[in-house]
Amino acid sequence: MQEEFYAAAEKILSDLYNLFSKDPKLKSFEILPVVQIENKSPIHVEEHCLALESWCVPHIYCYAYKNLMNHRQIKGKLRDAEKCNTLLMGALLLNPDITTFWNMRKELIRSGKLDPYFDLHFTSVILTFKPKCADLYAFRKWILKYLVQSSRNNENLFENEIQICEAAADRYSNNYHAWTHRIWCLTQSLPNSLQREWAASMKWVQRHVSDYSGFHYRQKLITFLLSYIDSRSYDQEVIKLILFSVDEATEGFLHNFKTYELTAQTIPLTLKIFVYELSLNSDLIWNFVGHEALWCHRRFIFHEIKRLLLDSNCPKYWGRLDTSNPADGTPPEKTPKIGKHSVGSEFSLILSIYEDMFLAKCSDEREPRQMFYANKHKQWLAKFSKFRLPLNEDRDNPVFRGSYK
Amino acid sequence: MVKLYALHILYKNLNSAVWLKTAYDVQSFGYFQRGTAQDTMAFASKTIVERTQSATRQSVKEGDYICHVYVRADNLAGVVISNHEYPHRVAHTLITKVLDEFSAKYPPSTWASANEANIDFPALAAHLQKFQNPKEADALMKIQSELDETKIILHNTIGAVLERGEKLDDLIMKSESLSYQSKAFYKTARKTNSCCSYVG
Repeated sequence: MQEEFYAAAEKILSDLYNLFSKDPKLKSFEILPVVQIENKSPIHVEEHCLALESWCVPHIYCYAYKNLMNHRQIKGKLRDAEKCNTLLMGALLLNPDITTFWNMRKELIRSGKLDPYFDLHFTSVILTFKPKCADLYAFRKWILKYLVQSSRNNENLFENEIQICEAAADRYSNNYHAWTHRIWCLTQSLPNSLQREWAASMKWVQRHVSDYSGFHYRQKLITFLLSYIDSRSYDQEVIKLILFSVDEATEGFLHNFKTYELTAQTIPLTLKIFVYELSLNSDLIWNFVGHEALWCHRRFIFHEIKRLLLDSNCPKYWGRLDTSNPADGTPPEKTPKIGKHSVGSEFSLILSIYEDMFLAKCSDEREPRQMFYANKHKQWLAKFSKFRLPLNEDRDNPVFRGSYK
Repeated sequence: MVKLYALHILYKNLNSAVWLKTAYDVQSFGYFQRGTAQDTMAFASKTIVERTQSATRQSVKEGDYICHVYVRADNLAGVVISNHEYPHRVAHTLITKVLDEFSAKYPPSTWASANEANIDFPALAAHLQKFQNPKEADALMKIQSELDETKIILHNTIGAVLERGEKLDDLIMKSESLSYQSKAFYKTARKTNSCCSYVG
């Protein structure tokens, strides 16, 4: 039964190969479920979109697989590079999870028989069919490294790659492999990519509110941004737009706390980045009710703020009680001079009031999911980060409790 | 992704529902699947409207999709098909708004005899695009506060909406509105979620 189709399979494979070499604009691939076999070509192409009818898939794949395994036994010059390439394309298009076949393509590229740019295109088409293929990303990474090493014109190489990752992440939610690959691309073009990716990832999380891989990427990005700001070669020009947007967000954040002496100028840049992130996160939680990924990202923000504040010594709101100032709920005394120490404590106070107000707003009985996450977050703040909200503090205060008796 | 796929207006007769106007966004589907996706969504909206009582709101989950339905007391019905990330409240607000606009343009007397091809209502497609960003709803806070009082019935599967003895698979195979190709798609789509199903 299988053998009858083999002659046809060879024809279909070479048609596929020709399609890819003739049309560099080919953009997607899919399999059409067709049960009845008609006597015509199973390949469809419309507006640069490619499809293959499902009935022929097992035949083509088995043919390509068997022949490739035989082909691997042939050594040296006897190998026919073009035939090998055609078979590999058919096999990988249908099942890109075979590392051996990708390695055979690497051999072809290394021996100069295959253009690496052709494969960048070929694999980008496969990604529309299987957006979550780990071997495929590993192969693309190898090509990119190969191109960088051979120092050809590689401007925009990583920028294009990031576009491709974004398209793949769009097709498959929580696409870990695509985002991991994107993190790698980001590290290849630091620090110039920071500003572009800051804006792009913000846009992304606003449209994909429960995609935790997307949030993880943003967390990585922020970490890179912080270490860039810490570095010696730090240049404000490179991240000008980020600086502008975090300043704006901080002023908006402080708007409700005008009685305090803090201004956007006195808060350190690193904290302002998290104020921006917190405002964005509050907005998303408010508009998209009940998504755990958003609340997890909020934990990340508080975790980082805590780390930054502990560095600048502000123990009061973060659980390290200092004995000179008992926890009686009174706000810390304001010092006329805004030094490093008082900025930290005043910021903590404002933050705790802000968070308490926000959580109260989220405790709407009509939205049980939201209330559940808000309570979890409150517990987490109290238990794990030891961050104390001022109102809780009042309730825990023995004097305050006594008045109810 | 926060996404709207379809926005429909239907009229519910005694035994069946008729589409008055439909709009789709099927860009996120594979090129060759778009026609089938439209067919299937049209079928789903009709089926669910026929099984929703007058003056009720329902939201029905099915796989990755959720179908929001509102049948007004005068039997004009609106349907939004979206994914789970799209805020439910906004979806229902959008239906209310669209139905209000539609009945302002076409009076109730015309609904029973109307046919989709003769109805000119470009606002539907425009709303579908505009509301892809749910923040657009901020302008509609007034309707939204009225909406809070109406109860939205949430069903976790389409099976909960069907009548006793009805099965989705049977309904699809019997349907006249679905093409042969769409039925084939539906049948195979159930089996092809596993990774190497075609190979082997």
